[in-house]
Amino acid sequence: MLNGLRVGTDLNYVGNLLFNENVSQYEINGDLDLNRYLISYAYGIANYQRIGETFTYQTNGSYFKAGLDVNFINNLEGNNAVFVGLRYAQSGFSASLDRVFLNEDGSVDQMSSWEENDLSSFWFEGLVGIKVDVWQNIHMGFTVSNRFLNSISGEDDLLAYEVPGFGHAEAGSLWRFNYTIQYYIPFRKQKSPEASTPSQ
Amino acid sequence: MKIFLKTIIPVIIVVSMISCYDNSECVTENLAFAVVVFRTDSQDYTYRLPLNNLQDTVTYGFDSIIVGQLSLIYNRKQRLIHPDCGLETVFEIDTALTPLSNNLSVVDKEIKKPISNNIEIIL
Repeated sequence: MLNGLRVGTDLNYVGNLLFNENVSQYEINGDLDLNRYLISYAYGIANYQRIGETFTYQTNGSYFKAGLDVNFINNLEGNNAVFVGLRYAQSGFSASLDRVFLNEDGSVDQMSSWEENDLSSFWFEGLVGIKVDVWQNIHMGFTVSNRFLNSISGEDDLLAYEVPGFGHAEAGSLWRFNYTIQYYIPFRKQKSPEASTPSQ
Repeated sequence: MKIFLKTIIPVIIVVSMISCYDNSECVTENLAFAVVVFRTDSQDYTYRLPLNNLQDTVTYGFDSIIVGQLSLIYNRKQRLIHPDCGLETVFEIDTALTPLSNNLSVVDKEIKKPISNNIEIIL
């Protein structure tokens, strides 16, 4: 039973765009509401730039996530959701490093660059979350997720520091909070409180 | 239910933002030596190889226990520890060569951060 489609983005990344000049990440996400089940998706692109006194490290890439959520309040009012779910995620990205080697007196000894263009990674996410219709089909919510089994391939002379969509590359598992704002496109008439209340 | 959810969302967001504040510390190891363990049929030998003059292929002389030469071929990998901490160079031994014994193996070839632990290279 197809109820509707949510389309939106992650507020974390909007905040980064506004307040963190070294991180730019765009993500479109949502789900297909099948009443009790939600088929979830996300696609994003990311650019991370880490600058130190002697280096500039950049990561560029994209990622997608897909999975299934189970909604425990599908029979209650509105199209709200309290759910648990599982995701498979995959990322393809590149990393580059410009590094300056200094002598003991602080003068520049040499400058070197490294680049890895065919890095890839996959991982899984287990999550719980809620989505609430706050106003006129605008849904807000959050998820608490654990990302795990991160596997990276393609590393040669430069080790990956961050994986787009995952986070710190060397972490075996990560806990994350994500905040979403989404628009709900209903395919059927919205459930009302009266409809779910037994008649007298 | 709806009011409850609307109320709890901002609370969760504020609490989680505080808890997610990045307070990681820089943990670096400034190793002057690489510790490499060689195993023969009867004994393990531990050698401390100086890192300051390490080349892509180097030859080290053994002490009086084993007379001979050891050649190490290894990879240098650049690793960003943390944006506030900087970088380090990870040395990973790819191949160890010696003309001495067919039963000699490198038990621990980690020099800096572990990439692959306890991989034995049978010579």
